[in-house]
Amino acid sequence: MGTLSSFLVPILNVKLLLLVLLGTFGGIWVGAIPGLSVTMAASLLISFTFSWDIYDAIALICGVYMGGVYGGGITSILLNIPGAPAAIATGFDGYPLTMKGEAPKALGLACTVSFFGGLLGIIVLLFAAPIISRIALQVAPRDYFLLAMMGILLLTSMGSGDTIKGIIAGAVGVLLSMVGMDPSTGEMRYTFGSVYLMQGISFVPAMIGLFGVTEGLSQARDVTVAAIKQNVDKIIPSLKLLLKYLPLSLRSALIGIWIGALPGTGGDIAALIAYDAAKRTVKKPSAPFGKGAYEGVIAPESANIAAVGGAFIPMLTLGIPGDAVTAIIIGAFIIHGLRPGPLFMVETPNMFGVIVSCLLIANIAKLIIAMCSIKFFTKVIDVPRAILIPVVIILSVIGTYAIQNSLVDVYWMLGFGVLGYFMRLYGFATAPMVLGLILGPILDSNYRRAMQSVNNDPMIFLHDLVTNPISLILVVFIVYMIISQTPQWKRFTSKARTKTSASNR
Amino acid sequence: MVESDYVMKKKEKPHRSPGEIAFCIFFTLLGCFAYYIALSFTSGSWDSPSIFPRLVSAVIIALSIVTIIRTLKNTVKTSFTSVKDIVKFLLPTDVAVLLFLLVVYSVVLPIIHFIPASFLFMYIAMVYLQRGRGLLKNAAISGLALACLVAIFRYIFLVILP
Repeated sequence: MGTLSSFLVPILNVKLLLLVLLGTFGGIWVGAIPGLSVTMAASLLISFTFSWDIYDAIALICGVYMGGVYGGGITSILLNIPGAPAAIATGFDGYPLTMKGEAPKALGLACTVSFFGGLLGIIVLLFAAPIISRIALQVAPRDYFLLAMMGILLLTSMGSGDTIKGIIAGAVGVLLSMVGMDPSTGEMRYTFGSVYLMQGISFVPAMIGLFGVTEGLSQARDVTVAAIKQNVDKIIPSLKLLLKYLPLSLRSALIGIWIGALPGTGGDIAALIAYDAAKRTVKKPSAPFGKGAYEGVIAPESANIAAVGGAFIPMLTLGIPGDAVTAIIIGAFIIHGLRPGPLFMVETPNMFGVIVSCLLIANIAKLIIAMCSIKFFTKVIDVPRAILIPVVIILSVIGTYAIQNSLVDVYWMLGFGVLGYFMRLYGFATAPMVLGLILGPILDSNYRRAMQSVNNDPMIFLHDLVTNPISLILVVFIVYMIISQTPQWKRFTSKARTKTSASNR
Repeated sequence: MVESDYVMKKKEKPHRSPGEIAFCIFFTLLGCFAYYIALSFTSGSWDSPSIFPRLVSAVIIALSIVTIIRTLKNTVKTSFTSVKDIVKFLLPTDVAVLLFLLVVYSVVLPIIHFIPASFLFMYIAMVYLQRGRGLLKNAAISGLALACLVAIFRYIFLVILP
């Protein structure tokens, strides 16, 4: 009964309600601006709210979290500059939609499916948290390695450009992620004695450079191109459209919940895997994937917001953070004298109700606020390139500097920007490089942890891959992903399709 | 087979941009260099720090060579009349000017700090890209944009600007 009444607390307490709304509104902006991240905002809020009541702090942070995840997709769709890594996949089809003049529709769809995805994530959090956390605990380092493998393999099917060039870009990204101190042994790799290289190459300057500055330089090739007229009539998706895409959205949200529930992985990987799953399962997309398919926006936007709900599961049931933001929230609990851990739900049962309620309110608020501001955001496209490009570049500079007050980061960012410009010129996609930078450390450290746990015996490693249920499922997925890309498989499936259509006649 | 069929089947080979092969060679060399350096990392067991760097470098080398071969086979060299045209394709004037401004900005930023450097960059870039038009308007836009950015980053997020 205590928990039930705790659900009503944020709804009945006006101050909490306002804080959630404020957080959501701020979160959308924070998520949208490249260089500002929800993680950064959350950590600032923790220090901000040091003296506040814990419920007030949680309300604000939950709002920022929910708003921020959607916000990243806004600039991804409008400018091809993801506001956050979780929004990289959204831009694959989101930006082509903007090029077609359908940005408002894309934003409206993204907003709506984000609501549904978030809702599913919250519902699962509410009812299935203990079960999922138990399963999530079974995930071993080798499974993280396999998941990261899946992420890398997605580079082969990323669609925007040459597959092999995409893999090269991704491999270079993975290589660059290994610069710096090896986390397991402390050995310096590729540092050449330089202090700057010792801390490694952070993926955020690379992301901002490869998307922001590269986009600016590439657009400068022809400044006279007029802004594409956007069709502002159809923002709110029709009920028919919604019902058509709801199954895909819910499927993607489920993927998001699971990946969010795994400690350490969050919306970015969830969005990618959901995008790829959509690519493989949707037979007749509204447009080819990578060229403005609505499904290409729906899948990642449903998954990355559902991952928010998923990330709370291990945090609340076990005290293990599901991702960076939940790790910060655990910090907030500790500062306020609470003890996150397996007994958290028992010792502070009201917290669960309050969090779920805040997330729910934030989800609804996000839907309303975002829908109302789509027209405003779309106006950004109307700004002529001659004005937009310099502003975007300076935004990239300040956004990069904001990460760790390092001018060296800014120089890296500019370097990546120039590299990205030439990569685009020669047909190399830039997204795989960013993903390689993100997934590289996960691949490397989990592979080595897995090997160490079997005493460096590759036979036991392989044996474990097929004997553990979670690993086996992942291995099957990976094998399927590899085989389905070969010409033999494609020939086989198209032959089968023509046979069935012939027999249907 | 009718002759017209044969003519239609012979597809035009796509053109490759100048420097495309060189770019791929750059990746190949990068991979070779990375592999060479990785040999000096601790190795010997399946969990050593050198495994992944070597693996990834090998992938880069192999695929870059494949790309070079494919590009040579499947594309035709675009004929440019002069070096000037090649440079113009790679770096159109606008891009070159922006790059130059960026270099100057990078050098000047630590000296005169963020607000003046960024204002000057935005103003000069905007005026240049609009071919000298709107001197006053661009100053106002640069100022406004900078004010918004500073407000958000410096005062709300408490980021110390460079």
